[in-house]
Amino acid sequence: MRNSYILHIERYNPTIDSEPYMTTFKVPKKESATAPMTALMALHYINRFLEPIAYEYNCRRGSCGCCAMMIDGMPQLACYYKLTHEHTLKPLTGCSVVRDLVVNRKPMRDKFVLSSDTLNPIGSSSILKPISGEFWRDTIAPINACRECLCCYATCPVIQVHKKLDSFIGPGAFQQLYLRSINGMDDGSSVEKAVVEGLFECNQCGMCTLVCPARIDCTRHIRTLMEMAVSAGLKPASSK
Amino acid sequence: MGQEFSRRNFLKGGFALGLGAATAAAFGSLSGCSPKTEGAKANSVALTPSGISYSLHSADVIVVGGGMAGLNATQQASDAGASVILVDKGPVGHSGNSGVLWGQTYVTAESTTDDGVSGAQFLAIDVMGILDQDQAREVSRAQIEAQPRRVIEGAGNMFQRGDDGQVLGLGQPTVTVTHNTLYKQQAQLLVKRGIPVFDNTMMLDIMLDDEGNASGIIAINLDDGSAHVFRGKKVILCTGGYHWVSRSAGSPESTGEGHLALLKRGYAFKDMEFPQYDFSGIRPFGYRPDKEKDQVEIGVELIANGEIHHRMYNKDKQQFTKAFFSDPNLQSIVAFQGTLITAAKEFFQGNGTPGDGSNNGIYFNIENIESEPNTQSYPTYKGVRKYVARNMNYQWPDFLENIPSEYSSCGVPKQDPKTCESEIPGLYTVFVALSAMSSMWNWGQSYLAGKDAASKAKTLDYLPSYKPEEVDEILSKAYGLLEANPADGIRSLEVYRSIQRAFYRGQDYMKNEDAMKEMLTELERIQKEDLPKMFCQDKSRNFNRDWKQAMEAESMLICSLATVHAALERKESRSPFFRTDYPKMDNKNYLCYLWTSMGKNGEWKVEKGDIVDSVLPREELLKILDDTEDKYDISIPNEYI
Repeated sequence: MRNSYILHIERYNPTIDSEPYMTTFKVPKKESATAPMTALMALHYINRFLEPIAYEYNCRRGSCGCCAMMIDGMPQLACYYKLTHEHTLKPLTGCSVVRDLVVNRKPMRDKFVLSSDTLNPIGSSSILKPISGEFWRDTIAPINACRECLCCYATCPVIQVHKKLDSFIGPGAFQQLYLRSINGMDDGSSVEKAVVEGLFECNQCGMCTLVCPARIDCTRHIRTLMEMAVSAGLKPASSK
Repeated sequence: MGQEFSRRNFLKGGFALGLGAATAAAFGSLSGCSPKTEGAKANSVALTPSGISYSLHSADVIVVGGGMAGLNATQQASDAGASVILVDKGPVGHSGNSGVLWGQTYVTAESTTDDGVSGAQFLAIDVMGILDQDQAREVSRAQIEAQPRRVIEGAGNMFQRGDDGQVLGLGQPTVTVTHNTLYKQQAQLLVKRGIPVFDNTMMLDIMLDDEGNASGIIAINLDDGSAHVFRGKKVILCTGGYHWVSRSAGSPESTGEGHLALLKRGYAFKDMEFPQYDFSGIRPFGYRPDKEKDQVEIGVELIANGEIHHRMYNKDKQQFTKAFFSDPNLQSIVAFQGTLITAAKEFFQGNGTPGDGSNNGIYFNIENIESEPNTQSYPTYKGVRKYVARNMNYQWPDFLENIPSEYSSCGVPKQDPKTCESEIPGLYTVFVALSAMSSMWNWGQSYLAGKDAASKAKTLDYLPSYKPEEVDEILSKAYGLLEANPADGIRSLEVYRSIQRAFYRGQDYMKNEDAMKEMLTELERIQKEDLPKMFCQDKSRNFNRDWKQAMEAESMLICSLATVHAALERKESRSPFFRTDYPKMDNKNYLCYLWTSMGKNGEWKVEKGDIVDSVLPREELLKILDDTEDKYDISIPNEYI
């Protein structure tokens, strides 16, 4: 058994460096029966014992979304990525780099803001609508667990290949619109908003579902939104 | 059909704003007391006397901290018509406990109809029983008034439904326990309203005018190292706790800057000695903090008052909680205490798992957890093994080790129970109360503070002044930490770790006087020897964690000192404050506040004070505690002593 991990990490301090460069670190293995070594733990080790390095984290347990980055070419949460041997860590695709693995997520998080409604309190707590417990568990609870980590944005071809972020609200924000469309209090405006924000640009490739650390079935929810839009007669003539 | 919907229509909700910024700018011309060095308007740039450049911003109300309390205080102050600036140490919506606690148990007294009495009583017999009952009543009243549940669902959150489809706890008189994702929705709402949010921006200190009124804060942007001064008519500190110094489930941003601002000015705090523990991570996963803090391992969450306490096992893999929890009359709050005390008994007998070397761990048996019923409020942790297997390609064994962790520190200064205004006029403090119902407290307190700060700000027609020479001193110190190159220097990260290690030594789950005295000696040594030699290995102003930790070291150290001085004076045990040298409960002597303060020369004072018992009188409280002790054996029994 090899006794260390090898990490190739992209480094870039825009105030000093003319362009990003790669550095390689060897990190001793530290695993126990109940705890694997994660990419975040390796970053802590490097920062403390090898060289100061910039990375973001908060919760250390997969619930805040701060440590999302590209690991071996796929968007991942560093705190929830088990190291095996040799890995490459890069900043999240599609974001400008603040430093090393820290990116400016604001342009994409603003898409979530765009999906948000203004506060519209319902009349009384006593009229909170019943929802099937099973539906809550299987569909709503996972959406509530969305961390806005932006892994789905980093892998979405509409955004990364076709560069349509300006007219496309993105997979994560579509989940919020979907949640609103099914909460029993929506007047149909969530589906309308989804259509205006590029719903039919989605080609249902399935990448967002694949990379979502909360295991939200993003693709299916977007498809449901499309179906709702079609039956409401909201599908734009121009889309396929 | 698509062209009938214009983007503009859908976006228009977002343009109610700009208003905040415009109002904020207008104050500049009103500020009769402004320093002469610059014109006080929003976003102007000024220089300190020694030439450090800083950006100057102003609004009616400055809220510091973007966690659960800070987001709500900002919203309440904004709803009440004030211009507000939110200064957040982390990324907004993802910092502090708003980042950690997405999907949190929500507790509210809003279904009660007795003007807050039963809500306050519920809080009064909460974990420790000595919280400020005046404030407990105000917090309950605030919830009755504002009905947060309907606001939360109205914002697009959906409370958890049980198997019958109803919101869990909806029919209960005093409390509802459900999950929601309020914080991200609330953060989005604030941004959408156009409230100026300065995130990744760390408060260094508060500012006071000549009369001693709060007049703003001084801060550093952690992304680019720029300095900022935020002037306000009122300031609300929602800086959370300082629990990052402990083995904490909380956020690395919780390092006590708010506490330091008051402690260093001589103001006393109560409850500094009390940690709030659980065997928990928050859903959906968990974690296990290592001795060296940043080396956090993935673990599993254990929920204290769900139906799974019987899954707690000692080092010999013997189940130790079943007898306790098989009592059908067990109240959930007592269950919470019971979880902690039964574990403490195991630790006391040397039956803890090795953990990180402290022998204060347990095994959590997740065998067949997937088949647990769904009646309680935490369905998702059933899937935790599946999540780990899928996300990490890692198969967990049936027995997982878990170490109790501090989900929050406590410690609150003297404040008006109706408004949360501290002894510094114009400075509101929404720190973590001594309560397991933290969501209830923090919603209520931030509501009270936000409303009051906004309404009082309206009656002030000028911005209180500040002192550029003090800005100079604070900023010089901060930039000095970045530039320092002392001989025999110690990297800030190592100083930071030393403080944490000292804290673990004296404030572990099981405490004793010897360990606490070692902690005190070590902290005093760090203060005298290490702090002056601290340096940052990384010298960039751009996202420099070394520098951030250097700036946090003082508040972590001072808060730790306050903790150990107060803890030494609590000579008894109860959940979750355990002393192996005083293992019995002593209810009579327990029922008091310990006010801890620091003098001008760094000398510490701990003074006893009466508890506020306006809703549940001391004698009744004493009887409840005595009964609980008799019935549930909450102190460590004689045979283990």
